[in-house]
Amino acid sequence: MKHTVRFVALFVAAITAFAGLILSACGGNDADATLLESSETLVVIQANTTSGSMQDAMAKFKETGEITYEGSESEYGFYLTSVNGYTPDASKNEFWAVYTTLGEYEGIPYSSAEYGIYDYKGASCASASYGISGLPMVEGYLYILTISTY
Amino acid sequence: MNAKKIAVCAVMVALLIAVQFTLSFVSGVELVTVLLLCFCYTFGVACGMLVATAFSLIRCLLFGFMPNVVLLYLIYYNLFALLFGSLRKHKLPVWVCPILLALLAGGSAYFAIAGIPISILYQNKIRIMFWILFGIAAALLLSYIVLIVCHKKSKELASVTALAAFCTVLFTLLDDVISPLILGYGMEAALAYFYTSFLAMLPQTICASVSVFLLFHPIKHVLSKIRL
Repeated sequence: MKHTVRFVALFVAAITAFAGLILSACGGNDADATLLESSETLVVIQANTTSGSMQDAMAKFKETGEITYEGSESEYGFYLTSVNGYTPDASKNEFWAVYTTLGEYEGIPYSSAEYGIYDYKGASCASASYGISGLPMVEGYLYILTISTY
Repeated sequence: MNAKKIAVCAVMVALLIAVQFTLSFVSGVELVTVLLLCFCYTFGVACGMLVATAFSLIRCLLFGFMPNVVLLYLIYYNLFALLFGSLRKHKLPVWVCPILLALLAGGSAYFAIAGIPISILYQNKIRIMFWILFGIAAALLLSYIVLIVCHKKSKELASVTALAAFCTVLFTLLDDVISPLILGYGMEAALAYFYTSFLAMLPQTICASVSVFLLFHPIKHVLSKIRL
């Protein structure tokens, strides 16, 4: 029985180690983007190449000091608490909303006008279906963070 | 149902809530499965379902009242109690667990190859996770066969371990149906919810398998000392 227990325990340990090894290899990507606008209630980013996530682009702008933001990683992705020093007022039902001109890309929808539209200089941005960590940067598309209410 | 049974059930509910609360700070680790499994297996369906229902409702005092979670817990843990509570009297045919594990492995391999329509940023990770789930199911299947062949007396342990792993996966899949329906998610949001719940499911499945495999006999032994 001892040998069998050892065998099963080793099997599960091997699978767990294998899983950890592979998942740790899944790192982030670089994102090349231009910051078009940055204020207390509005951040507009345009992707220059198709690479990385909106979070990667924001991290790059944070490094260069062009924007500031606070938040935390959660199992649902990165949760933004403040951008450029502004924390949404919960008593007014405010939150940081993500909009993008990126609709469907490679057969996957990334935004839906059904949940809201934000017009930026004639470009119609729809409410994003993912947070900043799940939204891919695709060349030429706009990504907007703005204060919204529910 | 006499007073002693009710008292034992009440203590078990308190224990389950304490264990769940304590381990809620450690991601992916849970012992509710092995504790409730052993309890249902020892005391049967009626006590198991009483504990499952009380646990599902009373834990809201600590974790908050979320209708989707309450409904999920009430459905899942009562079915769980029904399954493991009846296992002692009605032994499963030896082919049931291998088939369930083979189904799990096959389904995981299918989705790992075919993929699911989710953000491209998540696709590689989710494929890898499906392959890992395939590996876990295959490892459990192989372990089941080894246990059955080498130690015929271990059929009980092999069965409950395999079923615990299968049930843990079902818990997440049930959550992926109930929560988006109750919270009114669209298709994209439901897929994003599936992705995030999948991240938590893998360590929980491993934890459930290992904890049931190692603790089933000791806990069952302790519980069987209680005379009702």
